[in-house]
Amino acid sequence: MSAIRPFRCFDSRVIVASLGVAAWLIVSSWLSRMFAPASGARVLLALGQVGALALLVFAIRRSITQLDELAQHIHYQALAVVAAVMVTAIAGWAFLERAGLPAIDWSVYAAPAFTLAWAVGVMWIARRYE
Amino acid sequence: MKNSVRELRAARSWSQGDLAEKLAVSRQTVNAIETEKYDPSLPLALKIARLFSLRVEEIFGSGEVRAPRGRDTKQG
Repeated sequence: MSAIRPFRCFDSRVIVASLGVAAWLIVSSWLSRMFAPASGARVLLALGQVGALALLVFAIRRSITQLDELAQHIHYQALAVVAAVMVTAIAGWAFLERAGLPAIDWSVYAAPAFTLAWAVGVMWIARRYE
Repeated sequence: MKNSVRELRAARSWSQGDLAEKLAVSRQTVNAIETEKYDPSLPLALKIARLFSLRVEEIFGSGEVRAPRGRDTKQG
């Protein structure tokens, strides 16, 4: 048996980028509290948060493309499964909310849930090829 | 998909690592192809065929290719 290491794409550059984005999200969230809701400055900070997340996605995608064929295949399979699960979970929970269950703030929980599910998905799918 | 990569590699006394290096993939990828757990992409299959100086269908598939059902496959 030979272990597949698809997590090699999370190299030092991606980790530094992730930490940078996390720091920016915390600082910008703190800064945005100083401005009134829907003010230009607050919208600008929110756009900055969206841009930072988009840059992080781009950096991770670029890192995945540096992996060899099988590792890329594992990542894309895991991402497809997780995307389907997340859409089902978010849309499904909306029905449960209407039925009276507590609301979930997906703007807070979607990214961590997606990342966790992606990691589990990669480990699970990688086992098939070992 | 069945393939004869392991036999072709063994005939040349190459290790999985040697083959992986020649194909610019990981040893794990070579292992997954040999154990028929992973079917390589077309570019990688062509690369393997070129490396062994064979055609892709001589390495992969073992004559399992069939005409699509419900289509007229007559030529001319």
